[in-house]
Amino acid sequence: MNSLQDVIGGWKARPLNSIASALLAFALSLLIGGGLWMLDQAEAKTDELLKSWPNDQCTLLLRSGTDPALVRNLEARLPADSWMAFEIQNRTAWITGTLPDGFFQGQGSTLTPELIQRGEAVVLLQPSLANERHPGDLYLDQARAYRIYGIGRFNLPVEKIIPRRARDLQPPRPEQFIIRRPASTIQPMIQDLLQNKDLRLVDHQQKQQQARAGFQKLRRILSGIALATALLVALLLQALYQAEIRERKGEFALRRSLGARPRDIRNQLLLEALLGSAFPILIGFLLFATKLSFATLTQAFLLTLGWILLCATLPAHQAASLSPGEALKGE
Amino acid sequence: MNPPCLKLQNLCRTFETPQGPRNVLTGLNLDVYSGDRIVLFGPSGCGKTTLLHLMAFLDSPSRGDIFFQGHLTREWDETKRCDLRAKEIGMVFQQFHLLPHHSVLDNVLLRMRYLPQDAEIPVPAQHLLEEMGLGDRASQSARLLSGGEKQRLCIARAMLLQPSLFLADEPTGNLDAENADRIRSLFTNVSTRGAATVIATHDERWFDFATRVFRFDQGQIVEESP
Repeated sequence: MNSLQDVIGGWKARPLNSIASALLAFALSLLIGGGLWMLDQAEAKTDELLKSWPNDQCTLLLRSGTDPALVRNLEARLPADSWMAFEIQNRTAWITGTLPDGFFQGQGSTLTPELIQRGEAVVLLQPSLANERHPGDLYLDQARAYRIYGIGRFNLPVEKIIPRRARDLQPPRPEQFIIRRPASTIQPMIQDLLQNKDLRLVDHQQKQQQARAGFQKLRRILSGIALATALLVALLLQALYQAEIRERKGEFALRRSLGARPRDIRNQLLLEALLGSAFPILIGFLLFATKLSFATLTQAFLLTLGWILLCATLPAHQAASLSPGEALKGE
Repeated sequence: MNPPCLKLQNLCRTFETPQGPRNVLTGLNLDVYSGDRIVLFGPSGCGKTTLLHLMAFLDSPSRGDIFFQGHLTREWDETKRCDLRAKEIGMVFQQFHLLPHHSVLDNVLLRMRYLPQDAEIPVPAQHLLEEMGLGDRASQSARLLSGGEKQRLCIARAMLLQPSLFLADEPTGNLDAENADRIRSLFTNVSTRGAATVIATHDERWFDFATRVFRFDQGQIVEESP
């Protein structure tokens, strides 16, 4: 007889308990693996977001500063499938869209060649759920939130704006909406817009902070969920182990009568918990093998195994402290 | 004269119960010598099992002393008690206490589980099983044995290291007459190997086996015979 035979015998004697604890360990590894994967994804997205705001460039948010009634009126007239995009390259604004002819006529601010030549433009885009964080803003971003509703009044430092009719075109690709200029070029324009309160500037630092804050918040939420799950699993495992000890009192008493020390009993139970959960945990984490790094997986595996061992420690200690005489009498 | 294998001196054991302290053993004195075949006879609940557990160092007395081969055991720590149980004491229980999902041979070898790796077995386990009539069942699962076979397996397990003290608690309590006779003859065999044997029972048929019979009642020896 050796320790491994003891462990296998223990599993065979109580298959349901063994399966239940293995499933719990597996579930715990899935939850932790899933959480780590989500964190990993969020971190990657945050990194990507941070890289998209280089230090020498700015992203503009343009907010409607005109009459809300005008906005509503325009919105009511706006066909649901219409879209509009613009792009500025080499001091030229390219406007593409599917808006009806003369849509801006009689709205107070009309996109006309004259307006454009004066360097003033009114831009209207249709509502977008992606813009919930900045309702009413024209949010020009590299990654998302391009279909935004509202009216922006701004001075474009362009030589000419060329409207393009594109009824039959597909909605524009995100790159078409990028307005990106060196900060030194944009700063005077920003100052002008700020004075009219039509512009909210989000610089790269603010964006980075927001991105980091979002990531930290997600990490806190996921950590909280992981902790709650780990505690729940710990409670369930405790209940399972306690039930097992009650069932196995006779066996422990027998082992004590054969010369087992309390630490032998404790070590046997810890070994059973360790070997019984190691395989399910390994399987659980292997499902994330392609999604997480080896180092992360190894750390998570060891931490989960450590947690299971911690859960088994108290019941193992209780089993080791059983009075063999009392246990034998109770059988 | 050699000191007794086990000497119990003014032994008391009190258990705390919700109704208050319950005295199970009250000032018990008993000397057990090597080769003795002692039967502790008495009704259920009279304290026989408690006494056996004290003799096996599975429990500690509330008062009084236990000497093992002349050594006072009061100051012994748990490690020393465990070593003693592993090497010197063999126990047989009424409820068998086998590991049902292990083989018959593994159940016998469980006796070696808590000894050093290099410990020697005086009698090969397989030989012992053959002696107990279980030679052809060695690789079988212990749960498949009959009651009599289980008890013979328990005896084989207890005998493996040829202990100097052999304790049995109602060893035939769960067996039919035929199996009980067979177990009694096996115990006689154990005793002739020089071990001190103590049987706790309420079955008078053990009297023929015994060299000394102690009638037990209310935690006290009330009569010794012959």
